[in-house]
Amino acid sequence: MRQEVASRRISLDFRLLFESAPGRYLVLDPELRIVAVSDAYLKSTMTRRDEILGRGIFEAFPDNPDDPAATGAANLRRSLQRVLRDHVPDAMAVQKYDIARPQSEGGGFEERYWSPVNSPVIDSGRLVYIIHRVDDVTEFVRLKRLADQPKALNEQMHTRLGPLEAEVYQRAHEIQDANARLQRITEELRQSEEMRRRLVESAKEYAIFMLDTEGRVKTWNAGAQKIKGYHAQEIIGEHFSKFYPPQDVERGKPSDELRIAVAQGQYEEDGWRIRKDGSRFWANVLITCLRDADGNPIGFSKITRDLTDRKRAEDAIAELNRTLQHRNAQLEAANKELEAFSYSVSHDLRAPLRTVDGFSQALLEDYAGKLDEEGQDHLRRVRAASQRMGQLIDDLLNLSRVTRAEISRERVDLSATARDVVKELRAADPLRQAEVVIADALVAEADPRLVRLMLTNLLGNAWKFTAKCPRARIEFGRRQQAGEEAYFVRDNGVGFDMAYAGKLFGAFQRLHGMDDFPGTGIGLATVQRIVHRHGGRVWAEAAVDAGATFYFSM
Amino acid sequence: MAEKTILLVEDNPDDQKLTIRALKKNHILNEVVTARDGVEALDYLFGTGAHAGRDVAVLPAVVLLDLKLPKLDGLEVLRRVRGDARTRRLPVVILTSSKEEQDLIHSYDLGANSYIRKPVDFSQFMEAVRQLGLYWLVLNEAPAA
Repeated sequence: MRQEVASRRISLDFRLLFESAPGRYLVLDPELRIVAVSDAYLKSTMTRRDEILGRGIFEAFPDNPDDPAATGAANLRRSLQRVLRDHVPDAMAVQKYDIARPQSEGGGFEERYWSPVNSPVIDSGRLVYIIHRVDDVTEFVRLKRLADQPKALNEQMHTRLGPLEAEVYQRAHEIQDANARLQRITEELRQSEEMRRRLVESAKEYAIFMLDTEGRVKTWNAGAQKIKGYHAQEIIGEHFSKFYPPQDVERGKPSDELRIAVAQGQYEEDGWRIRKDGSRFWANVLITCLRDADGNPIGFSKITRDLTDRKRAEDAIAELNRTLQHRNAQLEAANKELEAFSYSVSHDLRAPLRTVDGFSQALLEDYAGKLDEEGQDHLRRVRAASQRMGQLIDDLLNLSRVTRAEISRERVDLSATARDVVKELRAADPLRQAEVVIADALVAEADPRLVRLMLTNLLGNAWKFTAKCPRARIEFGRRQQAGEEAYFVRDNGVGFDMAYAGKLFGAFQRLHGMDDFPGTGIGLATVQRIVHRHGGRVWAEAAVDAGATFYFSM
Repeated sequence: MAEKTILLVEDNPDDQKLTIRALKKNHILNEVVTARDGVEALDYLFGTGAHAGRDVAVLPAVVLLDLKLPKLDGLEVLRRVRGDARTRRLPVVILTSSKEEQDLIHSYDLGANSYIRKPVDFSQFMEAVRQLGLYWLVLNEAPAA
């Protein structure tokens, strides 16, 4: 069924239908050549199809050469051009456009009035044809003229007016449509303008206002009032140099800025501006030159932001940086001083100790016969004390060196280092019996010198505090402890009371009497600093007479 | 070799006395010439100042040089000793309190033959001096002057 309907449709003769349509139609291509015409049009214009098809419309329908006031061709051309440009229908006012009479009927021109509408035919966004539709209103115009004449003719007019009224009604509709369209466009424009105005007016953080070409304030928004402090009524008409510090006004800065805006389109800067109350604020200013269609300046828009808080923060940071740099320099100087101090400690504090120790020994050797046992014991104590102080100075120097030294990390064989340290301990105390177990292949990314110093302290402690054990055992290894991989040094020596564990790593803190176990109390402080400098931590577990384990991570 | 001197450059009289004592105790009987600052040391070596006229061809067997000295410090003395053709090969042992790494490095860079840190413990110092005497005065073959 459906197919049948479709094929029947296709077989319709559109050409015949168009040409027979009751309206007066002329179809033009975009070059304004006549490509189709209805019979009604031909009849009205006293032409034949084969005469006008393919010809330009103005060639086919020239103005009446005997009417010097003829405007038909010119007005029609303008209307067609509007359609070509805007792609919207264009209804022309009633137009006098005389028609050439065929020679067979005597030649010359016949006076005619028309009401034309030109409509575009659009295909895929392109204008392909213009339909030029006309109504012959010659009769109507003539009757209108008659209306000014004696009443007798009114009768005649009324009877002939009927069909014309319908035409007039239709024209009125078309004009109404055009008006509505125009109104809609005007309304859209008004709304968009209103939105823009509200946007500008409500912007609180931006002062947005207009200047005339002289620099006088023309508009004012809420942001301008908030930032600058003026109400619209007190500032409109004033010159914008009011917003500048007096010294800027003196050197003509405001007008310079307008000149730059005119020359370059825009002027932007960050600088101090003055509020109504005289206080100043740090502003970001953008002046844009506004121009008319011919490019002549008609004023300026000016957008100002208050950046005082940001400026203050930036200044504070800059000041902080300066202070920091100064502090840094001071710190560097202090560090240098400390280094010089350590250097002289190492030299000058040790020299007198050597004298005390050396001459005590000389007394013991040279005057042994003249000193009784107690006198000799006193001298031995003097020597022991000076030697301990020597050790103290050395340990302190080590501690300060650990803090000062640059860490240079490399792959360190902890197992080999530990074996080396134990070898030294055994060499210094060849009579000691101790079982030392060192796990193989323990490696770490660390500073080799500092690691050695750390292991010397930890293994040295283990060695020392197992001195009184009949079966001393020292172990160095690695295990999972408290959720992290930790190295450990364990001994089965005298241990310590965990109640004092907090004091363990402080300098000069000792948990054992000097008589039992000699020491300076700096070793574990040094160990802790070395571990910390490697980003690790160190802790201990112990019990009295049950040994101690020191853990460290790196 | 016994006739050769030992030049001890040391400003601290206590350390001078203890060093000489340690040498004697270790039966090192060479004459010990002491210089109390860097200038005196150079005067002795180059026959100038108080030592004008000394036969500079006769060099000490070894110079025991402290680093921290009045007037001219030990490193500067070492630089001048190594910079002079007459003393370029003279054995110089740094004997100092410092074990600062930069001192060690500078000393060796300037051509020190040994670097010994004076221990506080006099017994250890005795041992150090004994080994030092044994090595530089007995074992070591110095080049002909």
